[in-house]
Amino acid sequence: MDNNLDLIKDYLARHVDNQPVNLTLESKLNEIGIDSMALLELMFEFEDKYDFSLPGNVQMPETVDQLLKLIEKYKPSTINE
Amino acid sequence: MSKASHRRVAVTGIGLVNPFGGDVDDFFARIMRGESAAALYRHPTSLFDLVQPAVRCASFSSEQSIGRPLSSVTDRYSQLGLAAAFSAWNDAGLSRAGNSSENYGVSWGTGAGGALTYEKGYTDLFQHGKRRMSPMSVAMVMNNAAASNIAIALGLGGACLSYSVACASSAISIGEAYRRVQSGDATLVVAGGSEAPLTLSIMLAWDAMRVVAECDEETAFRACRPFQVGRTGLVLGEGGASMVLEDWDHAVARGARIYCELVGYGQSCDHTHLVRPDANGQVKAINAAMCEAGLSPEDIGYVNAHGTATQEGDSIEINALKVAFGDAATELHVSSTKSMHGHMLGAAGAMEAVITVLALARQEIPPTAHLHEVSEDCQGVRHVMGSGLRDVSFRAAISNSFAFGGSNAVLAFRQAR
Repeated sequence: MDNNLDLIKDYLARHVDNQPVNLTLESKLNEIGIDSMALLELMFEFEDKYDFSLPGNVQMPETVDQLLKLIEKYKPSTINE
Repeated sequence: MSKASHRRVAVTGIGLVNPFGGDVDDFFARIMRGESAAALYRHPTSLFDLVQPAVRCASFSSEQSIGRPLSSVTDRYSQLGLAAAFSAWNDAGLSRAGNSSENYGVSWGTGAGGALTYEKGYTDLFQHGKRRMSPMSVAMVMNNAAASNIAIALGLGGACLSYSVACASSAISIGEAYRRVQSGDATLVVAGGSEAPLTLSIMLAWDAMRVVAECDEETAFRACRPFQVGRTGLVLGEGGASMVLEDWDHAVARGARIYCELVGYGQSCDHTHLVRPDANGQVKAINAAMCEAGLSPEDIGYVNAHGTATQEGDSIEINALKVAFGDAATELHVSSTKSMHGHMLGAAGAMEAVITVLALARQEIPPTAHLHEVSEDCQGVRHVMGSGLRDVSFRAAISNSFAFGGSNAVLAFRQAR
């Protein structure tokens, strides 16, 4: 889970000018610079990292916590971080 | 709309991303010296050794120029365009903070659009075994990506239009912007073009047409020699160029510096052949621009030629100039600056229009670099060579852009008065 949070931080470092001062699980994605297109790209990076595909009909997450839980739910269970 | 009701159109800002890496003053000083930016370029990811003469904006940093967020979601062609447009906007003395105007627009040209993004996608699919494209792909490759990103970044709510007419794309984007300001549909338009054509497929495609200049490492800088005896073709180049076109009264009211006035825009189609230019079509576009401008052949002190350095193209253009200018052709100063900045395809028209504006505003005419002996089939005009002309006085200039497909566009500029 912490690794996944790091991936979000890394994404923000690569794509956003003003990094959020205090990134928490409750942080809203669209308030920290992750708009709908960026979210697709970020989910894409998680899929690449764990070699899986999120279903097309998932509820799009709105917070960091929701995103992390979504990844945990669908990523292959054999993955050891 | 009757001509009487047409508004005058001022050029109030110019911006470039050019291969020398410096500002507009530096760029113009270099091309006045006949300095070339061409060098041999080895394609970095080709599976075989692909080397061509090319002009690159090697020192361009998109993150520095347009910021990290925009850089991360744009193709290089958009990045070059955004940087050029921002530069023109600033040069026009316009504010970016909180600006939003519903009758300011964008008019942009590109030939290949997001070709580098396409190439990366295909490389991922066919070379790296990936099975999908990035979700950003569509927004990055589309030919209106540069225009839309410029409109969003600058807060421009007027018409945002893109033109893809091969090598005349951004002459046409400037011409069409001129029409919008002239008719009163827009008060101000950020016009121009950008191109990032140094992809494996584009480089090979131009090479297959046998129009890329022949050279080796030592001669690459002078590979493109328009109008020269023994010329062998063009050098592809990347870059971005932009100008702010503005309702004259609006520009005067806000105290803007006016470089010159855009007074004529001529268009035509050869309707004869896809890739072989035709002098009749070119004459028609030149005459149309001059007629609208109310300029006589004697008024034109400089022609920035399309001049790609192909065998046929240069000869046909000079013939067109001789027909359009008649007896005045022998006194007509002509140069092709592609000899230095390369052929920027969809950005070429804008780059050369900016050079024409600078030449007129500074009363200095840049040369055709590497031209020492004019080919017999290109004689009959006054070719500007060496280190250009400085002590000249002229009131108007034109820029020619002739595209594959037979589309011709000519822009006529007159000194501000």
